[in-house]
Amino acid sequence: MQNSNRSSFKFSPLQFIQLSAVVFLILLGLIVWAYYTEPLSQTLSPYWNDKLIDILILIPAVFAASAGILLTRQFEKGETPYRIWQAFTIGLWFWVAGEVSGAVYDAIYWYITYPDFRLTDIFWLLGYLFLGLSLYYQMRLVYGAKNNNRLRLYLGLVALALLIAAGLTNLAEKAGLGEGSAWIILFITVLYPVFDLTEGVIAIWLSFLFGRGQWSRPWWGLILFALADSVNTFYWLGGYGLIPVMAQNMLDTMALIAYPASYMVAGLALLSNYFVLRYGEDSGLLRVVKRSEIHKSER
Amino acid sequence: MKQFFPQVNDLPIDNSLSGAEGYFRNSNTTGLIEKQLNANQFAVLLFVSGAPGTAYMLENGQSHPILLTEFSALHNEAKQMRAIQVPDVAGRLALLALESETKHTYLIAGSQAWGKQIDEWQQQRWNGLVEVTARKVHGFALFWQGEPQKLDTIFSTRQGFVSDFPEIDDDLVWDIVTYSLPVSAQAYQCAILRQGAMHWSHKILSRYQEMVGIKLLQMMNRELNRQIQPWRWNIELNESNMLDRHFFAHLTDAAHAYRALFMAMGAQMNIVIGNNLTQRLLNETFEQTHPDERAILQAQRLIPAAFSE
Repeated sequence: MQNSNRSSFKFSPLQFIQLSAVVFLILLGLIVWAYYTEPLSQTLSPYWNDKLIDILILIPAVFAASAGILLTRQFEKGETPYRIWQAFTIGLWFWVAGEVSGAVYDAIYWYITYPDFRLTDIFWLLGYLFLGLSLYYQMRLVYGAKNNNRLRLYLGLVALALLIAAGLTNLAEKAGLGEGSAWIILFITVLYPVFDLTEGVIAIWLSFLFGRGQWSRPWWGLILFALADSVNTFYWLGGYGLIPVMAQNMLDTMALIAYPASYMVAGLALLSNYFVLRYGEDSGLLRVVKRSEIHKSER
Repeated sequence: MKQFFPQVNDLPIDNSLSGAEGYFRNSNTTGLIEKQLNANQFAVLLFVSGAPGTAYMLENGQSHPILLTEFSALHNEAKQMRAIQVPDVAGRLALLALESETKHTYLIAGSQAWGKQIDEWQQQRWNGLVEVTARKVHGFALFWQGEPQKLDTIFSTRQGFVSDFPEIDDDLVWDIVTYSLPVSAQAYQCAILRQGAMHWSHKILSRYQEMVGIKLLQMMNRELNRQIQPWRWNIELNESNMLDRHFFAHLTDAAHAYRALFMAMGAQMNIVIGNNLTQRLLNETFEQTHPDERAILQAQRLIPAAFSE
């Protein structure tokens, strides 16, 4: 297939993926190290230690979003997978914007009170919206849905999620959670776990459907996102009060690793799929059935 | 005097049976040897990829199989012998005609009448074989569910074999013979199995393309074409079509080839979309095939469960 650019590669696609995975493992180690030992807190300030972790997380986030662009470009605009990966990529870029804007807010408000509602929330929520859209497109494709009201149906489902979140917000308010916050802030806080749960469940379902197939892997990233965020939700709901400190620390570490790992897994999977589409069997990433297997099938 | 594909030049061999047989055997080609006995009687022996197939005697438009030794013994009686090399499609349709019984004969004059006849077959969703004989053309077309099957249509013309219906001149008359297909005949079962395998694989490949895009489909096709190359089957996977131009003389040979292909297809899809979705895709598309096609696929154990993990 398209081998014209292969000679310019220093590494084969498989080696590039393997190398990236090793780099990401080191990056994960650095994040955990920076979080627990706080090297910059002592030499500079806690702010810079926090920014170090932000930057370390931003690297795989940008990597994943860029890999999404590469993958999307491999499809023709009229193809259904194009829509799926386009929405996925846009969602990832909104989350990159969320990471960046979070760092900017830190720079402005680190020593004073943060505003209740931040631009970061808009980016996160738009990210959820587009990632949800990609999940929705993928589900429709898998189940062979044919009607033309694609977007309308999705927006209906989003509206349903908003209604559920609103109901939960009222319950949370009555239970005394988020005391002193405006209703809309509490609503957004509730919305995150609702979206996490919904998208996490759909991503798990898709992974189950795709099984060990190459095309299931980008969804593993979303599952890790949901896992990382579920720890925060558990904390927010006061769950930490019910478990020993040791378990709290374990959950913290798990969330700390799962969050950047989700970008890494999604990024590697997207890049791997891009290489498969770009270089085919030559990528070394697509196991081909050996000729002997077709002969075996005859018996 | 009846001849198959009279526009095709005879093979440049001497007028001996062994010479013609030797040619087909050595070149592994499909062809036929005709022995003209008299104006209403002739015998024909089909060669399938170099191997002698069945011999038939044709008398007054009806055919019946004869032994190969009988065919050989006709040498002295034959007034004329002719050997021609034909594409696999021509060979398999000639065999189908020889295995079938003549149903109707028509004379069609002009493209309008021909178009009307085609419309009628389409409306009736007619299944059968059509033989067209005219001065400049002779050939066959298999109609399935009222539609002429592109890969089972072949005509000999002065320019060679073509797989499209030739233009019908308004001042010419076409002799049309329709054959009713005998359900139990091997050639008929091969034809239906072929339609079933091609239609099912078209649905599989189309759905797969929908799910993963054209590039992965092309990748899979390339891989499958590479894998089947050693078998020398005249089968090719192209975009969302399985193009089967092979002449399988026996149903088991055809089933064997399709099984290998579907198995390789299932294995390749499994790598990309996983076993659950592969199973689902195979099941869904299998259910969409025509009941007759599904029945013969099932009879040959060409079923979804056999092709996914």
